[in-house]
Amino acid sequence: MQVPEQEIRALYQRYAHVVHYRARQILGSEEEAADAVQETFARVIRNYDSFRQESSPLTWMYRITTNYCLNRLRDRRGHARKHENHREELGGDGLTRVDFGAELDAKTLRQLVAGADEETRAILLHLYFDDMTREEAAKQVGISVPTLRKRLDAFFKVARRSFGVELAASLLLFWVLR
Amino acid sequence: MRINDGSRPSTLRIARHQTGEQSLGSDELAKAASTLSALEAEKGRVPPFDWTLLTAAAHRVEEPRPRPSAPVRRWLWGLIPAMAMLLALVILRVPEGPNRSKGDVDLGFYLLRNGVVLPGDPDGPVQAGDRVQFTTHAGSHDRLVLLSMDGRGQLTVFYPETGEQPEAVIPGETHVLPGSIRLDDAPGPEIFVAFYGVDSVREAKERALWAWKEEGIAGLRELADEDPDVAILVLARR
Repeated sequence: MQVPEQEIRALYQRYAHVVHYRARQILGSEEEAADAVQETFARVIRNYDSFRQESSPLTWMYRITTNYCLNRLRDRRGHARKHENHREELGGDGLTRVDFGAELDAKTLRQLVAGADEETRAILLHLYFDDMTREEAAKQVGISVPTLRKRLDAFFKVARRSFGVELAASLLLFWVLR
Repeated sequence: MRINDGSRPSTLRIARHQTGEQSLGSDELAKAASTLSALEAEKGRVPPFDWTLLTAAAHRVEEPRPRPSAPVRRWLWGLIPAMAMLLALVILRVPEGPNRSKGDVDLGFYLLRNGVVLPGDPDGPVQAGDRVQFTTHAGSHDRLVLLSMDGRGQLTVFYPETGEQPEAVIPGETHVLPGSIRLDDAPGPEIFVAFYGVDSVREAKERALWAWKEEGIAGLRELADEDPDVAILVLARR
């Protein structure tokens, strides 16, 4: 079908900065945020017929951006593991040996998110980057709140051992379960 | 960052307000002020609208694979018995290689050679300078000790990197272990043994050394044959 340029331009002016802001927060990179905007609007154009039926275009774009960002984080981790990490580096600031500080910062979060399974990645992203409540995050992912709690519980249990810093992970767990 | 307990609107709700999709209440607006101004400032960072670029990107977007129609599905159902027989034949005929995969546990690898990552072939020779990165499937276990014995009987523990606590792994999932190891030019094959579910590094080392002392590589193979929670990978050097 013919997609009208003017309508896409109007959507871009209205929503692109939100997509950019969110992707930049999640990925921590201006360049990748720009890619996320391009990818999201490419999909808007590609699926314009169904997109027009959406009651909340932004929620639809959020879903696209979520998938895009999660894939980038996963690829980033996989790339680092396959090509860059050396045994000698693992004791330093490698992706899998995170030195948590007292604060859970965005960098640490990205590492946590990248290390989780697909569903838990989405949960962590919605809770921490989108500042959603547990109820909102569970709804976005399509699971119940108790299931969300279980997923996080299991994830942090493993993360606590993997990351080796009991205190910070316990703190995380406390935040999640309180 | 602290999980939102419902006392403030999420970023999505704030963004929907800012783009005119919905309205926040006055008390919520007060809590959303900093995010609203950050979103406003973001407008200056967005790449300019480029119709040519976007339409070109849209053409590259992969379409989801179409689902097979009902007649095709019915046709596939008819193939199932034949496929099952074929699978049974393949299972019966596949020779046992050095990559031990039994029960629920598994140990595999990728190889980085001359800058190219290759799927690990347990039958293919490796050479000094190759980098090996392991994949594991821990079955129902949540911990692992992975060690190596070289042709001289030198034992090295790779996972965990330090300490006595085994490496934590997620049960039931296949993982690429972090980091890689560079193979040296020690004589003989490189033998990697994964002990799943052991309580300590010491336990794994003792079992590996005992098996090695008894019969060398054959002893380690026997150990892996007898214990469903031990996997072995024997890589021959070129």
